[in-house]
Amino acid sequence: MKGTASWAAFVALRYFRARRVKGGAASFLLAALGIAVGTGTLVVVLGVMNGFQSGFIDSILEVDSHHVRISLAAEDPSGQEPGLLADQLREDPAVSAALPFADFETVALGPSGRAYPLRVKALPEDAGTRDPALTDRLGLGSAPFPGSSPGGIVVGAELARQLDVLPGDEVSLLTVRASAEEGVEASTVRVRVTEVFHSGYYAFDYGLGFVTFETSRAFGGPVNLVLGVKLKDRFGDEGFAERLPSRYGLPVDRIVTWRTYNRSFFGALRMEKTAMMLLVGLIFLVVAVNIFHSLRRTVFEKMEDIAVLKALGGSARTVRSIFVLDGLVTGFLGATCGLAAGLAVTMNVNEVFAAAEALVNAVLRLGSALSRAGGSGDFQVFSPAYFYLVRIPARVVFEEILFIYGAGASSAAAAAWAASRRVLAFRPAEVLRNE
Amino acid sequence: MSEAIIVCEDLSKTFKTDAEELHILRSVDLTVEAGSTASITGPSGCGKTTLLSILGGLDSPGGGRVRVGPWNLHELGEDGLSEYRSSFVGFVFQFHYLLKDFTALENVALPAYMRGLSRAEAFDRAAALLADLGLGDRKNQYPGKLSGGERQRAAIARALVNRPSVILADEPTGNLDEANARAVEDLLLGLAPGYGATLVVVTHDARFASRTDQRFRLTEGEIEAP
Repeated sequence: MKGTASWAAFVALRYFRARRVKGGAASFLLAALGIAVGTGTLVVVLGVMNGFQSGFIDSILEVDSHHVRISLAAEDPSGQEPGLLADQLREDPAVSAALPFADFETVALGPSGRAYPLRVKALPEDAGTRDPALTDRLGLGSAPFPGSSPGGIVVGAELARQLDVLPGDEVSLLTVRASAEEGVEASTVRVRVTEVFHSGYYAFDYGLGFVTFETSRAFGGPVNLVLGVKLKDRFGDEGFAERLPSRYGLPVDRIVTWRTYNRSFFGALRMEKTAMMLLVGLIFLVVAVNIFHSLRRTVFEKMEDIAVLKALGGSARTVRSIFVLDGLVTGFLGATCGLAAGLAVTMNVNEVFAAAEALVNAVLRLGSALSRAGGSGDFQVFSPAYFYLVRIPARVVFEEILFIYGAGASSAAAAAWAASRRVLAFRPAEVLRNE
Repeated sequence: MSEAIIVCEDLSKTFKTDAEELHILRSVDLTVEAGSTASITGPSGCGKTTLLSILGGLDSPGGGRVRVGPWNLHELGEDGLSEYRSSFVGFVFQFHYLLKDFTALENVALPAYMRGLSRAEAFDRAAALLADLGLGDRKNQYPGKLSGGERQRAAIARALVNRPSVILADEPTGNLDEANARAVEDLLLGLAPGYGATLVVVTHDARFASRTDQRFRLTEGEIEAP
């Protein structure tokens, strides 16, 4: 019917105005506020989670796992296959870097005698040049990495702090050799700290070190050589891996993509995010139930009006849409306000926490002054004593924002749709009967 | 003789309760001529309002055939009945049933707006109609601020705004004092033919009924022979 939407909107607007005049807008505002709180909270929580998670993922991919890992047959990095293959892969338009490396486990001993487990990654001397993203991620800028200095090691900032060493200091690394004739023989190799990196990812900053292939020979390496490939588009890993056997003659079982290699950890991150989204999303459910009951009462109170509108020629669907419109307006208003507030907080999350800290500290100082007790007012939301972060990272993902906004708005509309089901169920004569 | 605009054949309606079946209408045959005025009288509970509700598409017939103009109501679904109510009939209830959150003007304009007229056209038409019915200076009042007679006049204006072919009035004077009842009676009997509409009125008022062209009496769900 022509103009159906406009007359339904006209009636809905009149009802809204009448409700406001009669002071009944509180339930509408509370429902909209509930949607706003849910939307805003989800935007902030997911934004910060995304920030942390993308930091983890970027660190892992850039520093350790690479996008595609190819186990190499030859153990000598100067051998024909690794060198040739790395050169060939670097020519591939999809590849941004190809770097051979080998990992080995050891224990680091500092001048104080304290020992810490350490995973050491052996790399070519010019790894920083071959893979600038790696040195960027480690915060090493354009310095040669790991450098040509024999017997040098690059360690993480947290390990350096624990070992109490600075660049130029020496640390001992434990090496174990085993042979049938001599049995197991443990010894230490002294290496000099050439650089200290800070990736922001605690596991690396605390437990990862980098040496050259040459230095790794002192530890019996390099063994189990791997060619780490980084792609210009990391999500093209599956297609790239599928092409490798036919193009370069590599066995399929020696190729692992980053998604497979990190499946358990990234799966856990995804599970954590999904669980958080569902838990915070329960707000929408609570608000939807509230809207449902409120609108069902409204529908009951408006039964006579509904019968009259139907008697005047309004179809049941259109009359119902008046109440659904009410829910839609509630949902969209709440979701829009929540989205705006959530985005504002997410984009300025550090400033928000700084303001909160300043406020709490001001209150603490005031309390101290009034009670004449000493108090420094040095409250920190994320104290460095407990949290390994400098700034709270935040990252907004458009698809997630769209989903949250849609869920917020549609939860109210769905509640209204369910609450107004009764509109369909009766004929006008049942209400307008006089006899 | 004019063409029949309302034809009921063997119309019946039964309401089921937990305890019993109530036969409200039993094999009603009724023919109303186009452009005429007709009254249906009878004791309370005899089925007058039910019959009018079926003729107005507010309720469905239980059995038999009902034709109003080109509309075979016994064959229509919910959407068809909505379209019929919007385009072919105007309804005046005993209780005015004006929407209390809308002004008199908005109440009258609403059916035209629902019918598909633009908002401006609907409001212009409603304003002209209210002026014709002597409510020009009361059009912006809410129903709560109108007298009983004014409310019923506004309700009549609402029934006329879509220029329906049939006006159905259910005890339109039942809640009014004598003076207002006569005014509404005159209005309906004068306006319906003036708008080219057929008027069917259910009433207890013998004088009102006596002024109509066709008179039907319903007793225990059956039309009595005139």
